[in-house]
Amino acid sequence: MIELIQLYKWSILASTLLSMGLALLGIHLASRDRAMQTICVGQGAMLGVLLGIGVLQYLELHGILEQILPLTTALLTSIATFALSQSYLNRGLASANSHFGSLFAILLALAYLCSTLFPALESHMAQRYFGDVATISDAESMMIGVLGLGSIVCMSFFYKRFAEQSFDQALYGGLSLPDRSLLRLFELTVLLCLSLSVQTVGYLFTLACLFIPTTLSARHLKGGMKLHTIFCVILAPLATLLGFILSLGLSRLPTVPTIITIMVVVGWILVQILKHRRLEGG
Amino acid sequence: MSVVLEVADLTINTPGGSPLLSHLSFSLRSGQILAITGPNGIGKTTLLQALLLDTHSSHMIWNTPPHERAYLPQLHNQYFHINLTLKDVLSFADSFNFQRIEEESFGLISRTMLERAWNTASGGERQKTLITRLLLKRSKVLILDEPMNHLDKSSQKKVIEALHRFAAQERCAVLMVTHEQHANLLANHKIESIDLEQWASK
Repeated sequence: MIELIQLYKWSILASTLLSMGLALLGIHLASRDRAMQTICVGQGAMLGVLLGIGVLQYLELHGILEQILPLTTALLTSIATFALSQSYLNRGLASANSHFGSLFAILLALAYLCSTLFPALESHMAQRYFGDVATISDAESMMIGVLGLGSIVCMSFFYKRFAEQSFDQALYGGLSLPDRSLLRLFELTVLLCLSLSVQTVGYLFTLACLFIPTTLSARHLKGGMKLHTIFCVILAPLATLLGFILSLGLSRLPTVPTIITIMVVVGWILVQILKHRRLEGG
Repeated sequence: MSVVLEVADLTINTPGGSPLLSHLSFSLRSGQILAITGPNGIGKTTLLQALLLDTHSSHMIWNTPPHERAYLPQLHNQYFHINLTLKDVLSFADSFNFQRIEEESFGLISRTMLERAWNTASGGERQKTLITRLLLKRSKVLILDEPMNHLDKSSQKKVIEALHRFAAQERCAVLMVTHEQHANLLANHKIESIDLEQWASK
């Protein structure tokens, strides 16, 4: 077991850092009621990853391009999806979530179409959706570790200002006048994290780390902003660490579903402990 | 008193292009509270948005930079995903001080209210918290859209008194949109007002 942990140490460290960064971003995406938009943008990134891999295989490209091309196409398609979905919000469309739902269906169809155009993509498609943290390369580990750390630093440094902006956007909608540079920084961080995370650890892991910790906390804890944030930044990396190690020990267990199951179970236990000890007021 | 905003011959159209307000002129001075009144749909919020976004710059002169203007829009949504306390909301302002909140909110907020949850607080408590958050920012101009919403008569009076004391103490200008039904309250506190009905496009 120790040998396995030694072998996967960089993947474990990188995915743990990324999960914490995603959990911090998820707090603000959920607060701004952007979950459906994020699911669409993630699906847009997925389409870009598949296109990138398809082109790589079709043109038989190798080397550094194997890392860079899918990331670049993922970033481009996620930016395009974000711009389109943002236009729904800017136009003040009633029932924006229905529009996001239809956009998601179209992107899903395009991703499947892409996988049939490039037949060797089918196994890649399953892996990008459901993910496997154990198969990420050292180079990918380094990229997601740096990105996760960058996201943690950014979200912590501007913690109060991002929280205020999320609050204003939730309460005032399009009438709020956000600090444009801070908003762009947030959007850029989200797009980068989504694109790289979907490409490396998969869509499922990304969405789980973004939304499970913050929704568990919002539903069960009443201790204010500080407790909410602490809960999320503990739960996501702890579940990633425990789930990863458990799936290494029991080889039949896939990493990402195990991490998510542990996240729900550990989250529930943490909630009960906090409620029992009446720490919510802290 | 120095002029912080000069509006001259301003005409505003709806997003569809039909005329809303024509040839509106007024000025706002530091230390002054100016109310904009008028019936629903006359363009009060549209006017505030035009002033804030500086969309008709040839007809308005701001003598304060944008970061010195604080804005209270009308609530679009009452609830927030995170279970914030009122203290969390106020602490978004850098100058928030738990010990001095009663003085710094000019009597709008008491320390005992601070641990209440935002999502279960009353509409009036939320509105007073949002107004206090704006006061704590110490901006030179406050622009308030329907600040009396959700407030009972006693709270409305408290808000007007707080704004008066704040404007006098900080030499701050307050521009607020309010309904005609508050005409007596404005008159009792000697607040100047502009009735937009006179400027409505026929």
